[in-house]
Amino acid sequence: MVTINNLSLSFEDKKIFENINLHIEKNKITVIIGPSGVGKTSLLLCLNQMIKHDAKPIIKGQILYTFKGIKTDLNSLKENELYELRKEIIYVSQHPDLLPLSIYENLAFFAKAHNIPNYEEKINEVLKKVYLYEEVKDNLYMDASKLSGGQQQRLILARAFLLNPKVLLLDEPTASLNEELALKIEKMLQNQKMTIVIISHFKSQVKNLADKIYRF
Amino acid sequence: MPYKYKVYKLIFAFFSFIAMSLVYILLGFILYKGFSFISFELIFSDTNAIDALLLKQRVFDGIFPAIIGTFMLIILALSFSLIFGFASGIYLSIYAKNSTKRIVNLCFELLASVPSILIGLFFLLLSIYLHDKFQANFMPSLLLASLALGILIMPYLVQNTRLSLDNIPKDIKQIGINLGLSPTQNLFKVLLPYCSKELLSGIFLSLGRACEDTAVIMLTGAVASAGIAASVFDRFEALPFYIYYLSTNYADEKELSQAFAASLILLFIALFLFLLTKIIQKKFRNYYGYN
Repeated sequence: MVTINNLSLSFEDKKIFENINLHIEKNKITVIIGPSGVGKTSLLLCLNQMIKHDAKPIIKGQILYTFKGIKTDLNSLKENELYELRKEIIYVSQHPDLLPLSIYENLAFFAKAHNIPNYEEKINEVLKKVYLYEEVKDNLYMDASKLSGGQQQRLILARAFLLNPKVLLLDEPTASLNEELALKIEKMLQNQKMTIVIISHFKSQVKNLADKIYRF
Repeated sequence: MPYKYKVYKLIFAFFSFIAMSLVYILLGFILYKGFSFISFELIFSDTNAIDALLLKQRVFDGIFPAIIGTFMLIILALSFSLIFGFASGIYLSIYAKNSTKRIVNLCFELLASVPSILIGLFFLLLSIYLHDKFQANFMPSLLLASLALGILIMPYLVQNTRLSLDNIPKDIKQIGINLGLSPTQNLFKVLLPYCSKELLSGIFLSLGRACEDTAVIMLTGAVASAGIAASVFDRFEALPFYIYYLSTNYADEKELSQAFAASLILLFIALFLFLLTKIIQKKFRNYYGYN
């Protein structure tokens, strides 16, 4: 699905990582592990090219991905192609990034922007998928910022599922969840037929989820 | 509570109280001097109000033409400057490189600091030049005054738009881009709706500035008695000029009191614009669902 060849990333004089080689398989879960500050998040941001937004990184190597039917090096994509890429490869941050809108609108906003058909029905579906529906079904028009940290994290996960990406990049998706919920989310992720890349610090999670492990 | 905290709190509260009192004293003074003189007669003189409102009869001795003139003036000035102000502000915040940003910013800051009398003078001389050189019928008029006022308020609109966009948290700026919106979609669907409240506040402040300026309009078309302008090429009456004229040329106490009453009406217009802005702000926020 995605092949990373000799990927190196640096900013001016600051080296982030060097010579990463990794093959991310289709419909499998790849877990990235490593100590803090080694560039795990930066690697994910290279995959959807958000690393280039508002910054001028020096990127060497290739990220090969079949984009619009052609095997392409993502590092060579032009600015106007990146928007399309980010619809296919969606990054879910470890810090919930929500618009100051209601729970429903936070989901509907991007579904409308991406012309997702029948998104109204899919909203309930994705909320159920991340085990949030029961908690918010009576307050869908409540300000999303009033949700707890764990609920917000599940909401941005639901938002990503609603947009139906080809590759889902998850940056510590269960960091704010209790053990029981974290296990439920892990199980749900295992059952998805989707290419997923996860950064995780939890050994049990790595063991439960990983079809493949990349160690920094 | 630490002693120092209390001392500082007291000092800041004292200055804040003085500032607030000065504003209220000023408003109270105008209210005291002018309120009892506000009447139908002041606005419509001896003309039938309905006939005046329907523009069937001209009002000669009242301030009705000046009120209408003020509204026409600020609406025209805003329509001339709004698009340039917004577009420049968006360009500076979103698209411009840092070096360009510094230069363009400096230009608008300089423009903001130009005294309004100079802008008035420039447009007066421009109209004389165009008239002499090209026989253009571009004499002091509602159009010329609106253009000059538009230039006067443009820097406020630019800076307000730029700052409103600059102050959006980085997280909010990136959500759309991260989820596949193009910068243009992000601008129109996320960023502008997000700061619509601040943008509208900027419009209100600019309108307030346009509403009260006398220096520009006295050189570019405002006169003491012109009636309601039939077209943008006519001279016009406006409240700030009316107030200036009466307070510098009053023949008796009654005329001075009329100037205070007209000032009060100008304040009511500002209050009306403020409330209108608040209503539109609320509608915008409700429309976009922003909290």
